[in-house]
Amino acid sequence: MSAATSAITGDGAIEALGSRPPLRRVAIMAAIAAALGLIVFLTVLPGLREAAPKRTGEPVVGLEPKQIRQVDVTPRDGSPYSFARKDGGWVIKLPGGESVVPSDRLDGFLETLAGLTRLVVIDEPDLNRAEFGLDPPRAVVTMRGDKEITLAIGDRNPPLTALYVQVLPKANIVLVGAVLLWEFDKLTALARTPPVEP
Amino acid sequence: MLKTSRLALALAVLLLTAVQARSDEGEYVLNKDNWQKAEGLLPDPVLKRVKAGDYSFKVVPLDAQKFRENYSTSYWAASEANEGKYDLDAETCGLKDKATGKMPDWVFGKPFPKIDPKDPQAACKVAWNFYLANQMGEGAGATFTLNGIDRNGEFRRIKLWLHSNAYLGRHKKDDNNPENLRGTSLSHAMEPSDAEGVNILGQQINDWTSQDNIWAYIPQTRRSRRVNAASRSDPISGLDIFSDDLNCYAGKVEYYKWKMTGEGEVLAPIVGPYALKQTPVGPTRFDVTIPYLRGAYETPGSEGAPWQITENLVFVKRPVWILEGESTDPYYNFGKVIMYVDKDMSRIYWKSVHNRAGEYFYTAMCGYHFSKSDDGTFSATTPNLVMGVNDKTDRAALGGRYSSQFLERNFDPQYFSLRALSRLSD
Repeated sequence: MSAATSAITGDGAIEALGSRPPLRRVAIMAAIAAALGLIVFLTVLPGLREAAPKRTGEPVVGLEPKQIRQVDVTPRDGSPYSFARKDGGWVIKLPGGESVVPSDRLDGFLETLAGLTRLVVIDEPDLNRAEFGLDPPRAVVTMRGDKEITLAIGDRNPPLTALYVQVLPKANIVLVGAVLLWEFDKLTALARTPPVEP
Repeated sequence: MLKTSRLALALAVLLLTAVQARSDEGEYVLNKDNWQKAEGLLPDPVLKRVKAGDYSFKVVPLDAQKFRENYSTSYWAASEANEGKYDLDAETCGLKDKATGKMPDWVFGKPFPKIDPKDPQAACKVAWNFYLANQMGEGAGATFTLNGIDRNGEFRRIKLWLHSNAYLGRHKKDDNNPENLRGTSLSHAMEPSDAEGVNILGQQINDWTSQDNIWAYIPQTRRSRRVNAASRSDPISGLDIFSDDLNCYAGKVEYYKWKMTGEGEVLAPIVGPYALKQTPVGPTRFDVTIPYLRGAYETPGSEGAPWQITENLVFVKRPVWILEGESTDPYYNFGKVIMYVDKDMSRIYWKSVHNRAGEYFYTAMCGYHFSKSDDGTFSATTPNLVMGVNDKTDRAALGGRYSSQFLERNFDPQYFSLRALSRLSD
């Protein structure tokens, strides 16, 4: 009787396994262990892994920073100015001409804006916009790319933690993180100070 | 007669103008009546509180050269000699020895004594100058309190001690560093009873990529467990203060992405402002006695915010770099952090913190004292105060304010071990 036939019949099967060369038994056990390990890796471990926290809330604007080609700023006080992409960087356009500006200022502003969510939406009729610093606004910023987004920037809330903005032409007022004003102030500083040569 | 009166009047006006000019230059108390003097010298939320009457700051004139001498002569000499020796790893902001291309195991003085704000790596260089200046005092220890304070006064008090040892930026290289650490610390909570016996061991490995190693021993379970490095941004025991407030930033330089956003001047909180005496008490140990920084909540009749400091803290005008730091760790609670770093002394005096949603919520004021040996060859800069203010909740915490500390130049590395962590509470 061959080893294979013995394996099919009762007690003989145990004897047959016992008579197999040890190397073959080890290989079979290793294959079973590997298969079990794969199942654990695919099914159990992902459940144990701590999920990375996700940002929640509705974005203030649907903005893809890399799509924006030009940013126009109309401040409450002073003359309007623009930033535009040029040769892989950004330039500021002023009445006297254009100069290169540090790209991280524009990228930082756009990326911050793209990542902000609405903390509170104030949607009441007969709002007095002046109370929020929006009549007139501190500045109107228009971002031009595949689509155009215009933002009116107002004052910070009383504890200075957040900023009132309006996504024009919508009438409601949105409260966003004050970090946007920090980024915007860095842009306005570029218009005030001599630009940095690359 | 009329001529004499006019002359007297003119003289009086001249004298008054001179006195006024002198008081602008000299000592004065900044408060709600003259808050305009600090426009541009304080973070907006702080200036707003000065204007509202929450804070009164004693501003004193400063001899900039004498202030510089708070650091040892060897520190300044080493800083000068470091020019051109060090570089940065572009990806991690890790410090690199130009000669070896690797992380050095000891750097005394500023690795980057000259900062060009137009340099794309300027912020990272300033951060390294800051980190290494923290370490010049080598080993240190103090017992202090964390006080949670709201408008009604103190609502929680935690008493603990913290001992630390530095390897990377010390005056004298320590070859006994078997775990290749930049620094290590051990703390032990003493009060109140619900926190008593909680011990924490921290290690910073001297490489560009590893996270901080932090272990906490909880006496109730008699077990030590590993804690994520991002926990440095968790409130300590529910207070408005964070582990990352020590020196205003307590992590590895590589943990943040740094950005230079400008320069300016600030009013810097200092004890002194000149170096305190180090009293030798052993071959390698010194004691430093520090005046106590009393809080308004413990000062009868005090006005303003209960968490402001009423005694022994002065403010001096200092030139600063303004930096942004942001962690790429998704578990780190802080979003963008804005820090004001002394251009010369490499101290962070103020930091404004945004949360992950971009809301500003917290400002930490970091006050320091300096100490120096009698012969001027050894100095230390030590964080003595954190006033953390949560502007969303109008609550604050004070940390530090110890009136004595020791400096130890020869700590046994075994003292900062997991074994010591559990034995402290036996």
